[in-house]
Amino acid sequence: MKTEKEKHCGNCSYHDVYHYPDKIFCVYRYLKGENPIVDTLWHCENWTPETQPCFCVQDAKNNAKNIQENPKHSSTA
Amino acid sequence: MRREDLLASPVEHIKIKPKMTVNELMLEFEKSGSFGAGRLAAACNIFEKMLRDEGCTIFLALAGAAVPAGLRTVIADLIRKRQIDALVTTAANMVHDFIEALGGHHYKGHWAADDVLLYQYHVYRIYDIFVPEEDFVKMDYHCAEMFTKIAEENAGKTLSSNELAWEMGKRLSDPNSILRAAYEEKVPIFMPALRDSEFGYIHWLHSQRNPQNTLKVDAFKEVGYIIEMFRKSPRNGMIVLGGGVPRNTVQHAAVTARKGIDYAIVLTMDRAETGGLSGSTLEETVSWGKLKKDASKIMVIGDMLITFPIIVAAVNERLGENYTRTPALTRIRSKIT
Repeated sequence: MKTEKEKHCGNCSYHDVYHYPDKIFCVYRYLKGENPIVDTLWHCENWTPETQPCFCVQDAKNNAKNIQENPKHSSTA
Repeated sequence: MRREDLLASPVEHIKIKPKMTVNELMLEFEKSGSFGAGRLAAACNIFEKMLRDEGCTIFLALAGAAVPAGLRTVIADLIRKRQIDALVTTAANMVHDFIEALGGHHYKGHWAADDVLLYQYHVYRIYDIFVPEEDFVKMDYHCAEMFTKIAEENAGKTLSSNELAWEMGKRLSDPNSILRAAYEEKVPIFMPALRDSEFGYIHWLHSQRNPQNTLKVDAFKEVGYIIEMFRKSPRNGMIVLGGGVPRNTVQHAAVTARKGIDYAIVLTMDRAETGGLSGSTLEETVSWGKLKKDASKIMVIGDMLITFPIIVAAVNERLGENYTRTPALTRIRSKIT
């Protein structure tokens, strides 16, 4: 999958869902005392590939595209 | 025994009537006295006896995913009505109580769902219940911060699991929460396998961020407390949903107190042949001295999500709306040092 080759929080092994699909809870950042809630499509220098793929990046991209095309009808709160 | 003694009670056939109540159905089951219906009716009678016995302390042992499946309010109401005196539970059930206290939910799913798809959507499955990962994660985050506050306020004091349960209940505002109800009513919640749950992971999160001020919990601290409850109470009753560690904790306290249990109801789907505790018969429990040989006892093989609400509903119908119970525990607590 193309999304697996890209570096995003949503395909990093530290990611857990905070607000699907747009917000990620990053355990690594939490343990470092940093704000753990980050955008799914963001990434940092500690990005590590996840062992099993999920739909986070794909759905976050779709959401972002929908918001861009139709900002009044975003699927996220 | 004479032959006519064996044939003294004919099976009476179950009569279904329009608008019959839960208790009326249980009384029909009692007339039958057969199979699961007879056992369920007996369980109702034993729970009623426990409640009407002013010297009885009632322990509810809870294992299995009772809270995610919908028993949360039943249990919280039992606590608020003081119809149980102690809850001994898997910590996982309290994790799920906590999730709902923060506004999270459990969802009706399907046992044959595509689990790979669920994984890809970050949705967890408990048989036919779905839980979104974010509800767990928000609980992790919130609870880890709560553990830090509890550690700060207790300034190095080591807590037992029941003290930790009250500390958590104190900080939750949801009146339907089991943890909140137990804190308000001062009903102890014992979690003998505390770390075998999300609380274990949460404690690790909290400890990594607060290595100098880590919440300390002693798994053995409450042992004396639960034994004293048994020892001081004139009689003791046990209701088991599932089995596992919670059932063993109650039974072991009974035998350690050198005081067998007087009333016992076990609602389980487990079987005795494996040698596991959850399916062990109450006759087997007698052999350990954990249950008195003349105890009122019944094991109902069936889904606790069906059997337990029926028992509670039928017995509360018998007791009536104006029934109130003064727990033996209230009198006992002042005697426990």
